[in-house]
Amino acid sequence: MHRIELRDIEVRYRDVLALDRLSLTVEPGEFLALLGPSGCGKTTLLRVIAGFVPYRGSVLFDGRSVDDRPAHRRNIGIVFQDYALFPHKTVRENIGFGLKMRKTPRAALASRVEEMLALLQLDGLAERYPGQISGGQQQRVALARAIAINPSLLLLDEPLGALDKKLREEMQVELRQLQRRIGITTIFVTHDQEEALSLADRIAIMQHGAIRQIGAGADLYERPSSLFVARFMGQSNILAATAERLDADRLHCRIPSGETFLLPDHGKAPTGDILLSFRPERLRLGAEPSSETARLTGTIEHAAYLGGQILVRVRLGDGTIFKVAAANQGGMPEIAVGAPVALGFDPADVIVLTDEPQPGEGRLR
Amino acid sequence: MEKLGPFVRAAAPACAVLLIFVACLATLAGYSFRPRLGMAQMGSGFTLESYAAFFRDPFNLAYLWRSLWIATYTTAVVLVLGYVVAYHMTVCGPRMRLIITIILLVQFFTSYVIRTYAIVLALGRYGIVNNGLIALGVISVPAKLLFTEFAVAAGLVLVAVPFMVFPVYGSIAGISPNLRAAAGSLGATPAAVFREIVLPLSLPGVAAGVVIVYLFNLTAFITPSLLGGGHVDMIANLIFDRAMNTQDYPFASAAAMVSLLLTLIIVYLLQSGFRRTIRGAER
Amino acid sequence: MRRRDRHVAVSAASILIVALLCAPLIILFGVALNAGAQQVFPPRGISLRWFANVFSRSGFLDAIPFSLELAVLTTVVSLTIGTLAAIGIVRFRVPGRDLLLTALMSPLIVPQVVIGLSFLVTFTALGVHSSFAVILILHVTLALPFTVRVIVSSLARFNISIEEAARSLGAYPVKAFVTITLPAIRSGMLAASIFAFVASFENFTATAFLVWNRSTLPVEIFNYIQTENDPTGAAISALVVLTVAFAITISNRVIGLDALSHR
Repeated sequence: MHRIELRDIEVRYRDVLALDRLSLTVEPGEFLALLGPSGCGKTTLLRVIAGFVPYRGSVLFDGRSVDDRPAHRRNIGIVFQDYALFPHKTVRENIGFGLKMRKTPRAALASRVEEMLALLQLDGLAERYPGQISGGQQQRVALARAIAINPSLLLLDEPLGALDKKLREEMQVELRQLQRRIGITTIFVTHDQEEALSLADRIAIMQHGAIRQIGAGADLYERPSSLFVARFMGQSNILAATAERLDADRLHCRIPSGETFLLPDHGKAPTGDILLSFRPERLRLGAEPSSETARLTGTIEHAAYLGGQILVRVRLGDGTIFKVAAANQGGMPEIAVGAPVALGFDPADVIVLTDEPQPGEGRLR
Repeated sequence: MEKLGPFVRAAAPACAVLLIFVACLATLAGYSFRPRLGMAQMGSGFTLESYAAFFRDPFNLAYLWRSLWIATYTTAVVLVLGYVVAYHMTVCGPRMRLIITIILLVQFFTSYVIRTYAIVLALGRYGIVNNGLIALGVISVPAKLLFTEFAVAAGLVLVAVPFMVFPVYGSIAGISPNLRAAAGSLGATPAAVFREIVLPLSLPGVAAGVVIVYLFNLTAFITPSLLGGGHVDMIANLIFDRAMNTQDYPFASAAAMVSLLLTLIIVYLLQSGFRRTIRGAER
Repeated sequence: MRRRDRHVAVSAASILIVALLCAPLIILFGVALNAGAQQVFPPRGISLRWFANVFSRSGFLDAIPFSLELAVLTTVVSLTIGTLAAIGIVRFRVPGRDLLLTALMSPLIVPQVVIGLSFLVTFTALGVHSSFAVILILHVTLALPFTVRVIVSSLARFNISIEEAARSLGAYPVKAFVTITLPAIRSGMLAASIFAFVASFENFTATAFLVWNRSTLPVEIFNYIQTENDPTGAAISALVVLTVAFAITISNRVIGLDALSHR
């Protein structure tokens, strides 16, 4: 179990800043997900830790710098997106490769390979070549090869991307169980927020070479610190509003259509122009006004029956489209396209965001 | 099976050309079994006398051994030189790679006669190699470099290098960079990465290059002609001489058939030899 | 990271080797520029007289257009035949097609001397004298493997659904092929043309069996350097090299070198 620390990592390709003074600590045994859109730098960060990419700043394993150590001396296990299995070597030779490089004696090498074959349920495939096994099996061989050397750290670069949905979900569970069993510190790169949410202890959301927010999945989802994170994690309905502080724990908000409501707030949000984010599943169709809830009004544009839930598109008074997710409680609720509807919500569920535009981000519409 | 009609029509002209080619080879084979009746005369009937004459005379066989020997060691040298250049092309910058590619392509598309003649000029008594050696003080009198086996070998090597570089480069460049990265992350030093990953996966290209170069060197005509001056004749020179100068067609045809057979055997041996070494790399 | 240093030895060796390959051609140019008749390098005095002399020799004056005509016709014929064959091989899943492809490559395996001699004896036996047509047939046979191979790989990479879309919109199959597919594989066709042209223009050994009082440029150069001892041979050779270098640079602009170097 090892702790990994990154301090002020900077990577520059010609004039593009791929990583912008990035700092991060990964706790021993933690499963951390690096999440973000393509080009955000998550794969570059992985390659910095692995030692494939020159960088400025410091990478420390258990407090000791590894900056001088080239990739082949950092003792890291990596699983690449395309698995990178050696096509000319058998499964057994692939798994044993790292041990062979460390000049492990033959008996110890053989028994460790057997151990890995059993752990990743690859018995019977030892003499096959990568071209002769399925995608899921290749993925497991790649994993086995990475952990066979008992690395300080496991790096996974979108390893499940090539698998179909069902297999991917199974592998997610297996992967997490495996990681818990051997207790290895793991960093997992993905662009799929559902995958990150289901696998990771903590998620670091990246954009433009920097970490925008880091925390447990629930934290990121319930309390996103920026518009980018709010939009990236799950669905959001965004409204611009002006806010005035009424007293110590209440914020008075006015939205463009003229409606106002009070939000509980503990003095954190500034006043003036703010953004409000509403999660689709926290909006209720046709709720009656009461002191506990606030309301938005609009007309129904479209309803989609998706089996597990019903997704309704509502056009608010000022033209903004809101997506509402209603759980399927049996039977279609009365949803008539074109009918006026009120959306009820609990003010405590509203997320307040103040956003400075990030480089590359357009103005809010 | 209704695809058969259009296929035949599309392939017909090419098949016609192929047929002409095969017919010519068949005629050649036929000639090799005809009796020799002196210059430009040929009888009818079937005989193995040309083949017998070829194999019985150690003078003839010497051409064969010399060709095989020279082809073998020159191909080995070309392999080393070509591999170095091909490997360099995969690790150098794009501008250098472009320059090298252009140089190689110019070689590739220039007639062998011209390229070999250039080497003749370089190795002559007053050529640059001699001048250089004298200037360096290695020798005091111009050495006889031309018309020696060394000259022929040098010519074969220099002319063949581009043919080795392209296929080898193709196979090394086709190795995914993630494979090298994976090997490195598992503890392989750069030397180990080369030995365990690059070298084995470059074998298909090496095989292709070796076959091309070996066949070319084995049956070379121009190089032994210009650089050997008659002193280092190889099998192709024998065939040409007997056909065009002596007009002993049956013998020349027999010698030609022998070289064809030799060529096919060597291709088969090289390809199956490489196939066994390549094993799982192509799957 | 210090990855560059690792490759210093290989880079140095490689550059040396490439320089060694260039050296003879540079010497060729140098010798051609000699003012005197001695073929020395570095040249003693600079003069273009030997280049001029090339064009006063009837042998060369005849051989140059002869070779060019041959090469152009070879290219046209082998490109047409090769494209047709490639269509057959790529588009029609018929049992014999792999065999056909391999068979079409066979002229590459057979030694040049053997091919040349076999053509000579065959046409002699038929009572046909050496002529332009005979050499043309020879050159087409030699060029066909190149055109077939390049066009097969171009066609195989071409996404046939584009052509099918055109046909679903009403275009006749042949028209769809000509207007949609051919332009899409034009870089392959250009590469194939270059290979075919070069295969014909630079061929020596096989052609040497079939020349009569007219010959191709490589044969003419060969004969000249065997008999004469002045820089004229070097001059015409240098001209050829210059033309090739020029053509390659143009091709790079037009289709990029990848099409030519990744066979």
